[in-house]
Amino acid sequence: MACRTFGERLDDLLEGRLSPADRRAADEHLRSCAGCRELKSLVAEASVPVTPPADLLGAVLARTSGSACGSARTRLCDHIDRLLAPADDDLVRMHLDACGECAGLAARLARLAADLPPLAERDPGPRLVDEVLARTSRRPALPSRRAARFAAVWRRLAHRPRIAWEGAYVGSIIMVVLFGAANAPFADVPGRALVVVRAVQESLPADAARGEVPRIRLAVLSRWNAARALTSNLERRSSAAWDGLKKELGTVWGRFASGKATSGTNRTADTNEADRGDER
Amino acid sequence: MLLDDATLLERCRQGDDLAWEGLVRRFQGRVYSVACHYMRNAEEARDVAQEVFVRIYERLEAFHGDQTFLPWVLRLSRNICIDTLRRQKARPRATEADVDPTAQLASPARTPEEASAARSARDLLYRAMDRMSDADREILMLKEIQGLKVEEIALLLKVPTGTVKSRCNRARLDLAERVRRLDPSYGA
Repeated sequence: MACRTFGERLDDLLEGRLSPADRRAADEHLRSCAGCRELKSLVAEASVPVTPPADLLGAVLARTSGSACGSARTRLCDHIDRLLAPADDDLVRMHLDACGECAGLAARLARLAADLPPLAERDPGPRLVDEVLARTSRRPALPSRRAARFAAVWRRLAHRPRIAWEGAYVGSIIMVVLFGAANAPFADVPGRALVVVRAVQESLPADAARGEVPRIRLAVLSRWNAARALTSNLERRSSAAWDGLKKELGTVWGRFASGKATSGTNRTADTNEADRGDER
Repeated sequence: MLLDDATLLERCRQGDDLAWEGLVRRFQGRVYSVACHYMRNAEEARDVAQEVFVRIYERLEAFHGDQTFLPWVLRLSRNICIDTLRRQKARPRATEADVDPTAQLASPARTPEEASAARSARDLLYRAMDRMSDADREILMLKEIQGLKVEEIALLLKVPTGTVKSRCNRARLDLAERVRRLDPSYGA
């Protein structure tokens, strides 16, 4: 076997893949060739795995891309949340196997992921529900609350002392805007109404108008009598109430006056007694 | 079986007082928690929580069924807290001691040892979060604690979703670092 052929078959020889005939030929060549014996021993030594120096990786990274910790930390949260793609996840895992500092950080992040969600609820104590219910449940429904609020606003406005002046002012402005100005929408309405009344008055037959007068007078009289009956009824009731009130007031006043008189008498008796004591 | 939120809301809209009480009971812990995060004072947080529920009651008609109720409630709570804080701007801020960190809703299944460990972990987290910036605390509270989606937070804070994600990741890393400083054994 030539040295070149031996070199080509050296790997197979070392890994035991040669046929018996080839192996015998290779052994014969080795016995006769010192160079190939040296080559075989070198290759055999190199194939034994050797632990690299601890600082080798750091030294290489320092001279090339720099530390990978920063890159790993940007992906660490996603690694904990299992959001990384498989390839990235493997890379982070490899880094964590080699880097104690990042592994510690990853462990703390994993613990935080478990410890933070339970903080979502805190006990506000037993009072909160009662306080909230007191402020909400007894309230009327939303539409009636709105109506009440609206009514309250109007009531507040109406109770202001200036409301009469303001109402008169606004009413006058509205009247002027609607009827008074030259180009107002209803500017000619009063004039037209006057014309219509005059036209009706002229077109109404005098006899028919005369016939209507007693009927109108009768209707007015009956309304007037009903109103008077109502007024006298009210008067009677109010005078009865006033009499009762006067009676009550009189009783109270009588009690007050008699009490005053009694205390005055006592006071006089006491004073007299004191005077007598002084004299003695 | 518990009523779902939509049914509960519908019953509230129909004027069922019992449903309203149920709704307040269901969401009071959430609302109070958000109020505590912003107000940092138990009494003020309770007042704000009350105000939130009164506002919810008044706006029940305005709530659309196509929205999710919890994000709506949390958004309302946040807005009311911020309004309240704006009104009391001149007032000095309360310290963390004003909020009782143990005032968590108790889980009946816990053993005393587990409950104690959980309490100390909560205390540690509150102390660590109290030292964070307002923006980081807020985003942590909305996403990691209240569990809102990135899109919902983006809508609420009016920022792009990418910004929400990056700010949230930064806040988580910051919190992890602050927790390590307070307790190096945390997560080990």
